[in-house]
Amino acid sequence: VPERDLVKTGITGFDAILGGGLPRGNIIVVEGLAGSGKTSLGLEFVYRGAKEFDEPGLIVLFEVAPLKVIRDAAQFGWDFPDLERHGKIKIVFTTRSVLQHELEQADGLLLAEAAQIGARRIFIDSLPPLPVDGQNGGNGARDVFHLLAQGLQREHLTAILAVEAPGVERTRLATPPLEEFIADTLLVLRIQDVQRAASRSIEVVKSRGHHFQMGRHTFRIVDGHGLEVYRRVQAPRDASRELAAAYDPATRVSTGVPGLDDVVNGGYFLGSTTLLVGVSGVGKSVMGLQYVAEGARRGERSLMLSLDEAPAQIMRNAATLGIDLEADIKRDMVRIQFDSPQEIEIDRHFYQIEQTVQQFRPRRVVIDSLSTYASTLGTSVRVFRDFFHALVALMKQYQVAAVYNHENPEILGMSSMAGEYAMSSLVDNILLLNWVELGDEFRLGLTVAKMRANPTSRVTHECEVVNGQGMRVLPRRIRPAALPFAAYQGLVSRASEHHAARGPDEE
Amino acid sequence: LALVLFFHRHPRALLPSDRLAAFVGYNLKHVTQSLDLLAEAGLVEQSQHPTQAARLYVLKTPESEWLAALLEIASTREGRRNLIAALPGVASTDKSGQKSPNGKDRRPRVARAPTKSR
Repeated sequence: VPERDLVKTGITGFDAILGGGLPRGNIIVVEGLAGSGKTSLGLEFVYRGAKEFDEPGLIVLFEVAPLKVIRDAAQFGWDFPDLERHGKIKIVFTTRSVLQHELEQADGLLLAEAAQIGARRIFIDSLPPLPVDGQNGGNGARDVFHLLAQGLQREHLTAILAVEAPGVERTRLATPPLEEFIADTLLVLRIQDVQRAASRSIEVVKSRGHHFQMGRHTFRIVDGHGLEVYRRVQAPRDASRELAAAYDPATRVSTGVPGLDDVVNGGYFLGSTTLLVGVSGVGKSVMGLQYVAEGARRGERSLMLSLDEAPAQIMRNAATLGIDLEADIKRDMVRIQFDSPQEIEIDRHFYQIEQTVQQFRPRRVVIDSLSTYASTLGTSVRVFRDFFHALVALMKQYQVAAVYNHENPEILGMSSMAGEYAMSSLVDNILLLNWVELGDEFRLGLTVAKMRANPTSRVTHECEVVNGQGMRVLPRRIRPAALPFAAYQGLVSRASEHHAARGPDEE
Repeated sequence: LALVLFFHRHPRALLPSDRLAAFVGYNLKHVTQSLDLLAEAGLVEQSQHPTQAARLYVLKTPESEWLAALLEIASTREGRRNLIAALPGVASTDKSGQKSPNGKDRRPRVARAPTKSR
């Protein structure tokens, strides 16, 4: 379908899902329960058309008084009276039977009203659910609906018809409701219960004449704006994102942790995905802050995505390490994006990350932490993996060196690197941070478990977090009073032991 | 008055007159008479298709000050009653539009727009 034949809805995020818009002249049925957002969607379709695309529109109401619609629309900042004054829209209150008669006449009053303003769009709110074809007068209703559709098409109107859906979850019926046959496009709006919260979704069930993204996409009705649709995180992105996974084999990004660059062959590759795994308090967030601060020092933009700590708390933490994050934020070198994990809508959350990465163009990203995402998304391992996959693809497209903190619940030793979330295959580098109990103290060990396209030494290095300075990786031999790690075996197990023989560095 | 209120809430209504009468809650005969008065006063414009029972009613002065003041008074039952009582020759009205026992005509009447009514 050529671009010119697509009618843009103007609804944030929705046209991308529709592949650019709806084919002109389509009869679009919007189904949903009361309160699911049908009226808001239809009104915004007409409003955006009149306001942004110079396509006047007609709104036909059966039950709600136009004055109430105008009042409600004003909450979104849509000034319908102004558009009426300028001849861009008309709101007509009528009955269903009158509408039917009107559309059966080429010179009816309603169509004359539409023609007077050169209407290209129409929203009809709303029709009752039509019976299943062949049942309870279904054939008669089909004729009525067909006449309605013909009348709208005759006037070259792109029409949205709101239809009250029955109060049950839609299933794939052997004989679907007849409006599904006649409609060119069928949109279903739902409100889903998510662990005592509610989430709205929109699904394009069918749409003739163009490509669209199937599945349920989250949307919100935002005060002062209107609808915002967020593509479901699992939906395939454009091919460029997948193809952009190619590495720059030369450029490395310094970790900002003294001694660590040597361990990781000079730094992380651009576009790489690094997982820092360790128990809470081991220093993952500290390393994240050092990574960001190093970027700011080098003039490279960094983005911190935090679910665990609010920006003020992150800045305070940074200050204790001697990092003036506030100054870096003011210089626009660092941006912190915090989203409370409570009632997170993953499609919307990903959309916001996508927007920030596209606009801010960071070279470094720290995600703190993946385990919070995992617990936030509940029992759906698949959703978590799909989200993580989408995040990795996004970072690769924009050649971001991304570091993901992941909390491993085991205080000593590690029985798995990423727990039940099978994400290791998506990750390029895995660094394990592990407490090692030696004598009467916990000491910190760092092991590079995986480093794609890099020579990897599986040596466990001792690290320490110094107050006011942050983390550093210690040389293999440092403290004469204590034996170096090389003098032990089983450091990353739960039972490290001192070698009977002398280690290589003790000679 | 009920019609003015209705057209304020529905400035462009395409309805058969019997349906309009049902919406405002008065009998058809008196609604028709009141509609004629409103049209005569230039407050409402009516158009009709020759083969259709429905008429298109368009409120002509939806944003005038006098209408806003009238609607504010008429927004409560008490206000409407007071307003009707203040109209010369009209004490009260009922849905049937019949005359009261004392012989006065109780049909609802509509005040004319004070300006540009002709």
